[in-house]
Formats: sequence, structure tokens, C-alpha cells
Amino acid sequence: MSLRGFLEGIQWLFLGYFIVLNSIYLGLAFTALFGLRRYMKGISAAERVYSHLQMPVSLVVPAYNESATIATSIRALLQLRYQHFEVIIVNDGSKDDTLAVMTREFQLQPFPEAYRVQIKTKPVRGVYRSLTHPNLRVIDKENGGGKADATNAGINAARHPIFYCGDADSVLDPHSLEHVVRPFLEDPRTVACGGTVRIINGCVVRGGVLEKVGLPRNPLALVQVVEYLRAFLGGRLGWSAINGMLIVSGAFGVFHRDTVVAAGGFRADVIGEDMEMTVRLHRKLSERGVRYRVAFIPDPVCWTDAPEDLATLAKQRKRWHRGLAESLWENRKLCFAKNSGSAGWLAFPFFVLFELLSPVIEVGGFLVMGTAFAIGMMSGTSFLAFVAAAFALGVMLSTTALLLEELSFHTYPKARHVFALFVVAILENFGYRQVMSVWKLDALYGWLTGRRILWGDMKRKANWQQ
Amino acid sequence: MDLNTGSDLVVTLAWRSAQVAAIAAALMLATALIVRRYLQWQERLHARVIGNWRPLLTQIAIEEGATPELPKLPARHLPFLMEEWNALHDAVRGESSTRLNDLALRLGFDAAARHLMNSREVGKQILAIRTLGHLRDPTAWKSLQEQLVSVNALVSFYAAAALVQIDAQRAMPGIMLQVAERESWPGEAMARLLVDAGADVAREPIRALMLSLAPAKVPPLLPWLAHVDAVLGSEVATELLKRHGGDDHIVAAALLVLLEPSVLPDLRHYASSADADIRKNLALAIGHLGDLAETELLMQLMGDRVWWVRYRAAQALLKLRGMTAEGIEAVRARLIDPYALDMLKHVRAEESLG
Repeated sequence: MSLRGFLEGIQWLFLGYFIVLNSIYLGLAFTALFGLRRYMKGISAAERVYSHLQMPVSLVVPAYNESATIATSIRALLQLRYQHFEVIIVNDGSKDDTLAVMTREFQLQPFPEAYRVQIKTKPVRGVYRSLTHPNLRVIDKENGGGKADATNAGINAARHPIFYCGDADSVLDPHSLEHVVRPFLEDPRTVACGGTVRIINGCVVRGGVLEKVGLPRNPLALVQVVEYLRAFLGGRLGWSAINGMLIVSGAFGVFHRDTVVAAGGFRADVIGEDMEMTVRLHRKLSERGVRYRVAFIPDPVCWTDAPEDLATLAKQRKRWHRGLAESLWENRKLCFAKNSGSAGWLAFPFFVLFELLSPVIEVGGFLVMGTAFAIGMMSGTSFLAFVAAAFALGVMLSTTALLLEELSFHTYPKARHVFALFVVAILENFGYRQVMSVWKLDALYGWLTGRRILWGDMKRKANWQQ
Repeated sequence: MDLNTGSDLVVTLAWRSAQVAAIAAALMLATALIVRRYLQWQERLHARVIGNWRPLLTQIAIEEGATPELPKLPARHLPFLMEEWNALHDAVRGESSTRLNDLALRLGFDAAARHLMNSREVGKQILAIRTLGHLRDPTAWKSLQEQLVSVNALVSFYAAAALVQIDAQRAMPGIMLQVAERESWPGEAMARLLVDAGADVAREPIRALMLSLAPAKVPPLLPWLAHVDAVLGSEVATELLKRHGGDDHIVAAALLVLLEPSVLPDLRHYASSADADIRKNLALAIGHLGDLAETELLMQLMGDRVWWVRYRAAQALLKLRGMTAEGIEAVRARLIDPYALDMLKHVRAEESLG
């Protein structure tokens, strides 16, 4: 093949990839749009009918060295507007005084729990129950196995048919449980349900409760607001409409307890235990020919702290991409498997081609074309055309998410917020997305070569907390 | 060598893609901002309508003979007012309800609701159905019956509620048919609906329905039947146990709604059922109905391999009629199964904490 032919081939590949990728995302966004309209129109009527129906929920929250924030987090959980729930905090062998703080603040008392080990975990040292809040228990276990192992210990102690698992530093909407149990009530085949996670930086939180919504001043956090809108309102809502959702976020996920136990619980040997669990549920249930549903509700149910410095963001994104690779590889039998439906025939191949391998195409494409342009083998017009197409398609996709947000929840109170997010949707194409691709590529390389991934400390400013 | 591909089809396509995407993004931003303005306008309008009408509606509902001057009602205000009127109607009974209906008829809610019933929006359809139900409008019977069989569970459910409001007796056969055929109606809401219909009206149709349903349909309905009428629930459960004593799902559901202690001797054999739900629910039934004669059976269940069976059995032991602290101590002394001992310790600790 001549060099010219090779270059043309690369150009077609690059353009075709972007057009197909964005067309799929756009298709998902339109699916989401119709789903969202239907959801929003039926919501008030459904709320009236279901308002008295409250499926009991166990809230499982692992905590490790969180003495500074644990009391506020627990108070926020206890304030949720829901009748039937229990809170199970799993102290994952914290080295600080997390347990002592909880004991003092909630008058914990050792409790002779007949603890059942349905999923094997690191040893449990003790179970405590609060004298002030009968629905609060603390499982104190030895450290090891990360969030997955701690969550499994919480699942062992959970008494209700569905459980929520999330992070201690996330802030839940007071009505989140009312919203998230609805798919379980409406369709008993539901085995998991995720909800929209939003960025809390720039908001005001008092006593663990979100008081005022705002946008962060930090540019990195601001870009993540757009990213989260795109991911949750566009992607996940679209996939859930065809039962192809492969990720239930670790920040907010509700699962059917017995189904998770039967699947063996969360795996401590993978990085993205939340995604791995969701993909595994798809695989195991479709292998058994069980009819099931992995649902998603678009309501903003959970607010999470976004990294505000590059180093922390890099660690987070590399971890996520590594987790994606592991989850897909460990459950590769789902791909094109009999009975696997949209999850195996659409979502899985999509995630491999357009999520897992996206950094290879994106970085590769830019490198080849950039080099060709730099050495004069490609005209400035051609180079600009490709860059413009990639950027404009990206902006269009982000704007679709903004539109979906405005058509549904319009969470951000001022018109200038929408303008700001639109500007960010344009600016993120100049550097941010490319850096993301490089980090993802590094994570992919690390996974392929078996490089160990170090968790390190996640720096959180949490200056929204008052 | 000329490798400049700037004029090729692929480049043209790239430019076109960029242009289309940029225009689409700009249009979507404009739409987002217009939608925002429209919603803000709607919110202000809603607040204005409620601000004007809520005091009047409340006055009419609570004051006999109140004839306040009514403001003009443009068509675009009507859905907001109807929503408010329905909410108030849900909260009042008797004369207040009649006065609210008189007002609604003066304002033309009946014609407006019939018009809204044809809307493609589920929310508007439901608003219309609720309005016609509250108005007890017999001329709406036929269209409400059509909505009763709607594929949308919520529309169908609200239609059932409206039909009950208009004529509960006449509505029962159609509703019972839906109860039998649908799995999508929320059970507790359905139970409330049947309570609203009146126990005397619903009792016999429900009994007949429960005893004639296919066995697979019975278990999810039984708990809600007990909500409507606990005694009827227990009677039906006893009958179902006689007829379908080998059906695990029916047995598990029936055990939860029994009220008659005399049936316990016939249930003891379920302690060796292979189904853990049955063993667990048997423990619950014994806790509600049993006395000291059931101690041995509960001690056996406290050694069960399933945590929930052990837990419910231990709780039941503490609740048995005639059980005393000394009695519990005596049981504890006789227990040799470590799981049973752990569970007894657990539930006693729970009880002491309240």
C-alpha cells in the first residue's frame, strides 16, 4: 500500500469511528429523550400511587479512615425521607478513630449479632448497634479486600431484600430511596438499579444535606459536571431503555440482595467492582435464562465530590479504565452469548470498541494525522477538517446532555449556568479530552502488561461541606 | 509525491460533519434556553393560579353557603386548577366534596375532563380520570371502562378508582377481572381502592375471585386481601391451604395472614418443608398465634440452616403466649445447637434495646 493510500485509510477510519461513535451516542440520547419524557410525564401520578409503598432497603456504606466526616455522613443517611431502611456502616479496619467517633456520636454498643457469612470476607471483629438509632448498625472488620470486601460484609449483615451501596462521602438526595425502589416495585424482575450522580463541588451542603445547587469554580470540576451529565442522562438512560446498562455506579447503586449473594458478591480482586458486578449479573442471569432487568432512574439521586487536581483525576480515570478492561475481560463470555439480549449483543461490543479501545483510536488518529500534517504530508485544510469534525461532534453530544437536563430536572437554577456548561462543552475539546485519552491509554497498557495499580490517597477538598 | 488529500471526499465529509454538528449544537442550546424560559413561565403561571384559587377552593370546601366571587379562568389555567381541585378533593369528604363538585360543574370541569381524556399525555389522562371520578359523573362510565383496560397500569388503576367512586357495586366485576389478569397494579394501592369501595361491596367478589384464581396468581394478592379485610384474608387463606396445601407459594403466603390459632396443629408438618420461606413464615405464624405448646417446634426451627428461619423462630419463641423470662432461660439451657443459641442471644439483645 502506498503512503497516500495508508493516510487515506487512516482518515476514513478516524472519521468513520467518530461518526459511528457519535451516531450511537446520539441514538442513545434520543432513546433517553423519549424515555425521559415518558418518565417525567408519569412521575407525579406514579408517586401518588406508590407513595405508600416502601420496600425496605439496607444501606451498606463502607468506611475507611473517615473519622473527620463519618458522623455527618451517617446523620445525612439517617435523615433520608424513607420509612423502612437500616444503615449498615462497615468499618474496614480504619487506622484512625472512625469507630471511636461513631461509638461516641451514636452511642454504639456491642451487639451479639448472629452474623451469617453468605459471602466470604476478611474476619469481622464485632457488630455494634446504636442506642439512639435502632436502624443503625456498625460492622467492624479487618482491613483488606477494599471496598468490595467491606460491602460484602455489609451484605452479609443486611436484612432487607434490596441494598444500596455507596460511598461515605457522597451526599444522597433526601428522596433518593423513594425514587430508586420504584423500578423494583414496578417490575419484580429488577435486580439492580442505578441513578444519576451529579458533581457536588460548587454546591452548598449543610449537615450532610444538599442546600443549594451551584457550579464549581475549579475548571477541572466544571468539566466533570458536563461529563457526568453526558454519561448519565445520555448514555446510561439510553442503555437502560434497552436493558443494556453495564454500569451501576459505585457512588449510587441499589441491588437485589439474594441475586448478588447468588452471584458471589463483589469481587475484591478487580478494580471496578461496581461495573464488574453489573456485567457479571448480566452474564450469570442470561446464562441461566432468567428474565431480569437492570434499571436506571434519571433523577439526580446522589452528589459526589469531583477531583480538583490533575494528579487525583488521573488516578481516578486510570482506575476506571482499568476497571472497565477487567470487567469486560472477566465476563467476556457475555459477548454475543445466547439469551444475552442487548447487553451481550449491543452494549458489550460497544463498550469494547468505543469505550475500552477508544483511546487507541483517538490518540492513534491524532498522532498519525498530526505527524502527517507536521511533516507536510497532509494539508492544513484536511487536518483542520478532521479536528473540527471530532470537536464539533463532541460538543453536539455534550449539548444533547444539557438539553436533556433542561427538559427534565433543570437542576442548575440559572440560565448563566447553562451558558457556562455550554462553553465548557466547547473548551473541554481543547486539551481535556485528549489528556483523558492518554490516561486511558496508559491504563489500558498497564492492564495488558499486568502493571500493579496503586490506589494512593484521593485528595478531596470537600469545601462544599458546611 | 503529492499526499495532500485536502480535496478528497473524506475531507469534504469531515467538514460537512463538523458543520452539521455545530449547527445542531447551537440549535440544542437555543432549545435548552427556550425550554428553560417556557418552564419558568409555566411555574409562574402555576403559582399565580394556585395563589388566586387555593383560598377560594378552601373557603368553598369548608364554609357552607360560601359564594365568593370567582376570577376569570382562561383555558391555560384550567389544568393547574384541576390539579389543585383534585388534591383538595382527596382530602375532604361529605358536604365539602359536594360543594367542590358544584363549583367544578360551574367551571366546566366535566367537559374539560372528557376532552383531556383523549390527550396522548398520560399525566393529562390521569388528571381527567381523577376529575371524573371525584365528580361521580355517571355519563363518564363508558369511557372510564375503556381506560380500565388500558395497557398503562397507572391509567387503568386510576380508572378503577374512578369507577369505584361512581358506583362501587357495578364496578366490582370489571375490577376483579383486572385484578385477576393484571400483575402490574401495585398491591397496596389496590387494597386501598377496595377498602374505599367498602368491605360489604368488595368482600364477596374478592372471596370468589381468590378461590377461583389460578394458583400462581394467588400469592401476591393474599397479603393485600388481608389489608382490606383481615378476617376474610384469614378465612380465604385457610380454605386455600386445604385446596392447595402442596403449593409452596400459596402455603408461604397463606401462613402470613392466618388469624385462627386452631389451625396451628394442621400446619406443624410444614416445619420440615424444603422451602425456607414456608419454614420462616410458619415461625412467624406461630409467633402470632401460638402458645407454649409450640416451644419444641420453635426450638427445632431455631436450629434451621437458614438465618431468617432461625431469626423468626427465635423472635416467635419470645412472643409465645405464656412465655416468661424463666421459660426462655429454660429453653436456653436446653439448646445445644450453637446457631440456635447465637440467635436466641441476638433476638434477646434486640428486644432489650427496644
